[in-house]
Amino acid sequence: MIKREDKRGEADSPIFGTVIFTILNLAFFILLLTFVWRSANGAAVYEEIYAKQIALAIDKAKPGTQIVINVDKGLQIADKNRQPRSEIFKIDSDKGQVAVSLSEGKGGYEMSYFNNYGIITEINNEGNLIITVK
Amino acid sequence: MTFKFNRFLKDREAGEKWLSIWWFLILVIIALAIIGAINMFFNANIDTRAYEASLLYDKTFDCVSNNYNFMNFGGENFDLITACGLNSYLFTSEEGLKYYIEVYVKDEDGNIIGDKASVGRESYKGDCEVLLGDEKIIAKNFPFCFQKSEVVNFVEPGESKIKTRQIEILIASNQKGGKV
Repeated sequence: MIKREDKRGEADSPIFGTVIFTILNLAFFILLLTFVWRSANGAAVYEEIYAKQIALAIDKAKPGTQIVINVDKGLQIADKNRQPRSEIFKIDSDKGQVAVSLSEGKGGYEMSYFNNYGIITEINNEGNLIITVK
Repeated sequence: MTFKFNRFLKDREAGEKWLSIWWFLILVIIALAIIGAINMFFNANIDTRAYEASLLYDKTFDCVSNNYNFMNFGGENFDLITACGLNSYLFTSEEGLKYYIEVYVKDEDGNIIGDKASVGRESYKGDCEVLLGDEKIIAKNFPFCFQKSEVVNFVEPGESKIKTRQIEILIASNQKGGKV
């Protein structure tokens, strides 16, 4: 007579419980780290950084200056968020305002510069924003 | 009294269940704390007012010291916006007012020449007096204030005597930027 092995008790074994417990904890910390990483690389952080960087660079510049800022990371975020290149960096010379928006349909970040210069911006193929101060 | 082994095992299992609940409660508390800290950190404003005020001071000092005849400083015809190439919207329009500039020029004896030249939000001057006063008050919504005095030597056309002027500039900036 073949005896059937009783497997009912295995699910309650200490090893099974420990494995489930470890997996759940790992999943929790991975989710938490993903949240931290996504927050650190989010559009809002880069919008504020670029807007302030551009405004202060214009404030420091003298007429005839050409400023080159690498915005590669911002362009990657904008592409992911389907934001057209022409809508990312907007400069209003009359009000002296720089607006940066890396997400389509969302506002972005705005910062003023106090100089009364004419400003021309252009994004080249190497991921640089070229600001010409007139 | 006899020791009941089965009862002991059941109690232990119940204890472990309670321990698991407490453990997950701790995880939730950790998660909430991290989410709160991350939101506070990344939503915090990057305060560039001090650097901006120093840039505005440099620009004002350059334009006053290089482009102006100090003998008639501060007259009605003197306009800081035009003389220093500043954006008029940010210094005159009620919506855009975020700065204040005040300039005094003094002679060798410390007498003010002409009148002060000022532009921007006038109320910031009072805020700066409080901030730069002896009490060193820290106020969150007050502007950042920067005051400096520098001496300039110059020779007037047709004269050989070196003259000295002291330029005093007060800058207030309350530009924090913002989400659109």
